[in-house]
Amino acid sequence: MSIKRSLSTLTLSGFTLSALLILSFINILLQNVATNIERAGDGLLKLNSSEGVANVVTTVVVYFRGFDTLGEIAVLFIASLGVGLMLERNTECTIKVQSNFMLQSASKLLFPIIIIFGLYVMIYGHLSPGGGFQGGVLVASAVLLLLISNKDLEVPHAVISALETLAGVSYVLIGLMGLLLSDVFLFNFLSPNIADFGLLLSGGIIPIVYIIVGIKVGSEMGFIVQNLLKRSDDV
Amino acid sequence: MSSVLFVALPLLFGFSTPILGYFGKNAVAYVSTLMQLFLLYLGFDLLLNEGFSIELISIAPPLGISFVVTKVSLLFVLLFTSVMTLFSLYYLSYRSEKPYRDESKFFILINMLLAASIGLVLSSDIFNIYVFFEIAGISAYILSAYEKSSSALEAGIKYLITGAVASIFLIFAIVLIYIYIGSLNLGIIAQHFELLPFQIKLLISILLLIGFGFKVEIFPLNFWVSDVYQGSSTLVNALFSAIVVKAYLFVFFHLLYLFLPHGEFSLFLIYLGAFSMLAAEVAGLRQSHLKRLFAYSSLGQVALVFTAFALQNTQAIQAALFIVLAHSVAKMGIFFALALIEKEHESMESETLKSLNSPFLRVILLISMLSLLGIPLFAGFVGKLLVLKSLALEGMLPIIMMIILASLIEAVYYFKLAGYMFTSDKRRDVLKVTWAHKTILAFLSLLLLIIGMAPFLLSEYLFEASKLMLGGVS
Repeated sequence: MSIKRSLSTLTLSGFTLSALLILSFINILLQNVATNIERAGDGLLKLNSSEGVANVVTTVVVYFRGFDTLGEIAVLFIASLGVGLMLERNTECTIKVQSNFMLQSASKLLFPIIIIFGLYVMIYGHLSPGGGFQGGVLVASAVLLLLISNKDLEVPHAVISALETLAGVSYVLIGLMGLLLSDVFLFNFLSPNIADFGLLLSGGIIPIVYIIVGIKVGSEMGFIVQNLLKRSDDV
Repeated sequence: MSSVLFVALPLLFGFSTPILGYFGKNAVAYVSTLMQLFLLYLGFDLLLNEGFSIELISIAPPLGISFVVTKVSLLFVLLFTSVMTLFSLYYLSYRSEKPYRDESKFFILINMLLAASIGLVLSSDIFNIYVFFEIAGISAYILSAYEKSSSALEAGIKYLITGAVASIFLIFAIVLIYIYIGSLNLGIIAQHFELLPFQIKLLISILLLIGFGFKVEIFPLNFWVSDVYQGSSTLVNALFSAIVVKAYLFVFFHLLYLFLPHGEFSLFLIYLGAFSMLAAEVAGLRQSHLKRLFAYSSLGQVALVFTAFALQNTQAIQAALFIVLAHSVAKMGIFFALALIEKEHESMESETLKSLNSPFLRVILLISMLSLLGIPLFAGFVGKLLVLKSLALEGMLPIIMMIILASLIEAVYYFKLAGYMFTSDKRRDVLKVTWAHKTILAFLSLLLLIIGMAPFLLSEYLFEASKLMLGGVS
């Protein structure tokens, strides 16, 4: 009880502190921000033309700051591992009620559409808004839909695990290839051609890495969703 | 060879563990240890070759992210890699009797922790530092809750909440820095930071102090530490006090020296550090749980390092680096020994030491505690002496009094433990220590004696390192 109380006090004071912080933050923000300084973002925009990628955000996320993205993938990887570790001993599905007929038929109808849309967002991430993170989450949401409509469904663990491993390993290996070929980690060693601007095959390693990110995010989110659903209520 | 491998290889290992799992039960453990040995070799290779290099990632700085290896960051990288290697070697012979459940995940977590701590030290991009801050944080939360007992879960949740609050403060500081300076590169921020309006500078400094304050365990923000140490498994505590907190300490003061080279808040930080040390030792006095007690002793040592770093001069930084090394080695010895005792006696109350029947472990614990206390001929002495010397040169008598008083209080509980170990006669059967464990523990204690008797072996390197750290190469 006392642990619970101290935890809730801790959380409450944390929230209050952050709320106060945000208020003062916005206040200062609105007062006097210099608009004439050259920000790193402007520099990155100028650099983007050399990579021949239509979507600037993708270039920044996957290439210019690709190391941060690798780090974020690692964060997601450990988070899903932690969810798995903390909830692993339970195997029963939390959803006790059988889903109704409408949800079952609708999910069968929607599942392929969501998957295809997710894959599209993933693969065309360097040409149009979207990309690996968004596409991966879309695919995971399709899996979630299947899981809640059919509580006896088992997502094949081995397949997801294989996809996840493949994606993670190839991301680091692409980075190491850059190190090997041109002495710079995560270098775009496929030397993008500006003439290919707007084509599906353009931008060197950028679309490849984003698809890898998509697979990784999709499988991690799938793991998390499955683990959270499989929690039994005796904890 | 490239310093990016320090981060890339542990990540590669983490992602590929399912493949390694096919090669048998032990493959993950052995590959992990071999990789850490390779990283150790890589560290010494960098040290011997030049000791200074800048490693680009994707594109050139200031727009891109880069890793800067200097003598001082290399010192921390070598410390972390050797601590982790010793940890793995120690665990390899420990696991046959009492392995962690789901071992491959445990190896993933410790290697992620290693990668993130090294990334924190090497990275010269403040947002990249934030990413490593998160990776180190999340792997530490999971490691502390790993045993899933009620106290472990309490530790994990406390750690998670405080860590989340800390990262909110840090990210706000980074946002403000980007809005006002327009760059994330540490060198560029350092150039422009002084020209900012005073209020903004103050706000960013306070946000950074609170954000890192949770992680460097400084007085009002360190309430979570003792619970985390008590709940986490004993071996993992060695990592927390020898790697995690040291990485955050380095990053915090690296940023401080870069952003505020003239020591604007120096006096405040010195008093904060000295007060933290005193508070930690007073709190440690009435602890009866061994892990809690050594958590408070860690807090005291870290606060002493904080005080020395806050003095912001070369001699004090050299002293701080000495204490960092001595404390890491001593705490590793203590927690490694405690892990064996806990396995045998299944209790961590300090009374347990009364029935401890292993002269070897008693001597190891005694040497480590004497070093923590700062007795001459042990490693802790050199650092403490240098801190007091540089404080005396600055004429800070009250601080010296506080540190000496804190050390006296520290002595009380160490000697109480020593009394438990050496005077009682209600012994159990002899606690058998395997030769592998004996070698590692003896090596650690020997290291403490060598540093203590021949500090000149290290002092030149540490002096150069402290000059580089103060000069703020980035």
